[in-house]
Amino acid sequence: MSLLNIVNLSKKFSTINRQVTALSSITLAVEEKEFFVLLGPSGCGKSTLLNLIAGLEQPSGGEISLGATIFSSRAKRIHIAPRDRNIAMVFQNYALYPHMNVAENIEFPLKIRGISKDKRVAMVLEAAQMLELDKVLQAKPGELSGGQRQRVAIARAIVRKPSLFLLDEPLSNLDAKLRASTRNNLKLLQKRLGITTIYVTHDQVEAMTLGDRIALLNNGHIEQIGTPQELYNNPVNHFVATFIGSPPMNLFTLNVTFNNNQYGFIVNGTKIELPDSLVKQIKKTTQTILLGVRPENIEIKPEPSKDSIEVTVTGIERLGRETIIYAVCESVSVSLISSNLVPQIGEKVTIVLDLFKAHVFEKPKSDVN
Amino acid sequence: MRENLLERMLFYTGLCVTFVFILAPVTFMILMSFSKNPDFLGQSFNFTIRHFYEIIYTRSLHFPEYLANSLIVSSISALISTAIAGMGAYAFTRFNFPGKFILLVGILALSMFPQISIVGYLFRIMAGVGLINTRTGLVLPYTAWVLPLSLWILISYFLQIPGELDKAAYIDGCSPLKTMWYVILPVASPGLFSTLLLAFIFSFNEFMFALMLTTDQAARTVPVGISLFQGLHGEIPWGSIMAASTLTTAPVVILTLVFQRYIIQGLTRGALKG
Amino acid sequence: MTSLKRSQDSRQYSYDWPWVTLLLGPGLFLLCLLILIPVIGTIITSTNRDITFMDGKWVGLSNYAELFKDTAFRQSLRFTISFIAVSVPLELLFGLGLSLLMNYKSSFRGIIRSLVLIPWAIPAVISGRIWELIYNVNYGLANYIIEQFGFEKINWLGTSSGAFWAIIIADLWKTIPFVAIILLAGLSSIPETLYQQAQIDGASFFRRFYSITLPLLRPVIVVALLFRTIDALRIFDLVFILTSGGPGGSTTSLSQLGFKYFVGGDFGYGSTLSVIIFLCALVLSLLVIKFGKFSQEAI
Repeated sequence: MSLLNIVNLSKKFSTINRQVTALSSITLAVEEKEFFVLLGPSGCGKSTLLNLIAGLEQPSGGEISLGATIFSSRAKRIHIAPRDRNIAMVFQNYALYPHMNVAENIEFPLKIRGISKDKRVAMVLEAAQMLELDKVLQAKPGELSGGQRQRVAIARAIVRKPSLFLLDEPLSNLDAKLRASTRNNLKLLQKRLGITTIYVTHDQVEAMTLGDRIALLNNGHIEQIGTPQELYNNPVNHFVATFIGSPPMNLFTLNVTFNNNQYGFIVNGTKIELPDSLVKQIKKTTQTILLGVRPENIEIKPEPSKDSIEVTVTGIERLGRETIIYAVCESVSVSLISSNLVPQIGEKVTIVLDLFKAHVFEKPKSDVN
Repeated sequence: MRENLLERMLFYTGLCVTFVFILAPVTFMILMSFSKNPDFLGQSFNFTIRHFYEIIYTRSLHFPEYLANSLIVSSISALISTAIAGMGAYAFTRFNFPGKFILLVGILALSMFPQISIVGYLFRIMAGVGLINTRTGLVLPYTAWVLPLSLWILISYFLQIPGELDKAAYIDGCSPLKTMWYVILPVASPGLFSTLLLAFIFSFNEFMFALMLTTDQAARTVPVGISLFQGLHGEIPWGSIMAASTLTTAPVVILTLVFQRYIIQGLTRGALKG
Repeated sequence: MTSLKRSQDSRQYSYDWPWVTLLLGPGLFLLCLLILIPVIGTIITSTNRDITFMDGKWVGLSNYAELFKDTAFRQSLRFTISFIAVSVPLELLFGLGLSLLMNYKSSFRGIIRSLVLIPWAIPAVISGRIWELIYNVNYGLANYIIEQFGFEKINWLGTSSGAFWAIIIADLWKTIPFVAIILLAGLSSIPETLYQQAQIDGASFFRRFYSITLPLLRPVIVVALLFRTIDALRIFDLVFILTSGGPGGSTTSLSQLGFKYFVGGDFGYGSTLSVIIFLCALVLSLLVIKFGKFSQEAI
């Protein structure tokens, strides 16, 4: 059985003139010792979900339970206060107590829980050493660097050995270089301590590198839950497909035609047939589909061939090892990654889509893109 | 360049006028309190500390008692009202309840009520419970009177404390009361201090309630004492009045100058909502 | 920033109620007991004949009818309105000037900011007494200065117009600093870059004041104006000390007249007058709430 279970959770906010649904029918399970990431664009409800798990807000419906303990349940009229949940949380702005020094900050949760002074000192020291804070124990948060503050926040969270460790965009206030190394350390720390962790972020790179599993949220509901590889390789819809991966997956809206027992489409005079693996995913009734091809699955060919498409290059981003190329063809833009051939802007090149690695999605009813 | 000069000239002229206008009355008060004769202007000034000796040691003037009453009543009122306002500001900024905004506006409106509109009935209430001419009978209305302002100042301070801090405290094991005690109040301590200072000064300077609700030195405060100070023999004893005024003004002015920053902050927040 | 207005599931209120009650209880209890009940009591009393040593009786609105025929009331109404009309604009004018001085970058900035707090901090009664002495016909500072310039001595507190201006000047001494402090807060919130830009654009000192300072300061000026009007409406201490309402009742403020009735034992009539002042203040404070940044959105 999973450690944290969330069943059919919903949250509505009421303002003076309207009701806003922040979350609806959220169901997920987090395994023991798992690093679970809640990923999504801003305003998707991921932070609200974290607050609900922490008990800082009450759900409008559904249930949250940790092991055998019900944390919140609308139907059973149960709501356990955050202080009784034995959870720890790291906030985006760290929320360090400005009037206490580092040692007092880390000690605070222990003190409130009435742990004896001797034990407290030992635990604070242990946590501080683990995060390399033992030299700044007497400093106030205002005197620390961003990275140090962030580590104090983590030390304060892990010092009391919580059953659940919640992090709300903890890296977003660090500069890029520090972010990468902190990410690494965080993952190591989590594995070493074996604390079940839920991590909120809007950054798909963070999610992919940190998470054992990821739940991708959008507009208050879960689009897909799975390992980073599953989300990358088998996105269930176009939202997941474009959210994960950088530069994002190319999506082409196509009118497919059926002929000679083959589905195909025509671009710029070239007739391209879809392989059977994709055809199987298309419902017979639909004519308009979204074809998704990742930039790395598009190749520039020096010579035109039967299934190549001619495009005009509009932009180039050199990243060193590889180059991102932006191009258009009949007002449809496309991005691709090339590691050897680098054309000039305005140049016409021929490209080939690797359709065996492509995806087909249903066109959404209201066009979100 | 020429304009810069004009700007500077304007500034220094204004500065001089301000200095003179503000300081002249205060200087006049201090000179008078040390002068043997009240008509020293244009004549010779004779230094004496007799007036100070008189107001402190003449038992029938009761000045030390008045001063003690003022200090005690204002300190207690300031402490209680700041404590109550602190709790209220925490409730207003950290909790949701229906009618919150209306209640806040209502309390704000209370702070603008003229004193005259309650002083008559207040007298009857205090007379009814036997608190006329007692310090308690002043502490109670003073506390209530400065409460809206204190609340307003503290709300503006509390609003600046990020909500994440509360959440962190909740998760670290605090109840709402512990959060207030261990986190919000310490973080807002400069605000609490400004509020305390302002509440003290407002109570210390209050006049109408004290005039109505006290009858003699048992509870009478300095402003009332000084307003009724007529001297023992016909002629107005200006020297003594100014000596008393100087002595009374000194602690308030020193307090104000030392903690200038806090007072200005408190005043502007009270009036403008930070 | 924490916000007062946080949209929440309305059902969460039940969870918060015990805390709210506990935290707000003492304050609301005090305010109700010592301010709200007296106000209501005053309103009720105003509809009674309620004079010490006489039988009380309900008289409806006849106290109000009587009040409007009362020459003493009319006189004090006239004084209070003239006082507001003269003092408040002057306070704002000089207060604005002083706040500009306080905002001007110079080595005097710290000193002047401390200095202006002195008149504000001195109890009104004491400043009243100091000014009473300044206006003293024989050895006051005011007449001494006037004589130095070769003018005749003025009987400041003995004539109605002299007393009126004496009160205005003494009031200005105490209130200009307050206005200046409020306006200074508004001034310091105007970004410096605006002035730099204007200077680059070649705007003169006066032009900058007129086109940047004044418009951006307007909301603060409106609030200060209303605050001061409410405060001037209830003027009591200064008049009580300086003139006791004289000469001939020409400087009796509304508050002071009401107070006289209370002290004289006529609670019904005193309350009636108090209700009138209260209603004026209420209207003004509603304006403050409307024009101040007190709208729900701002909080």
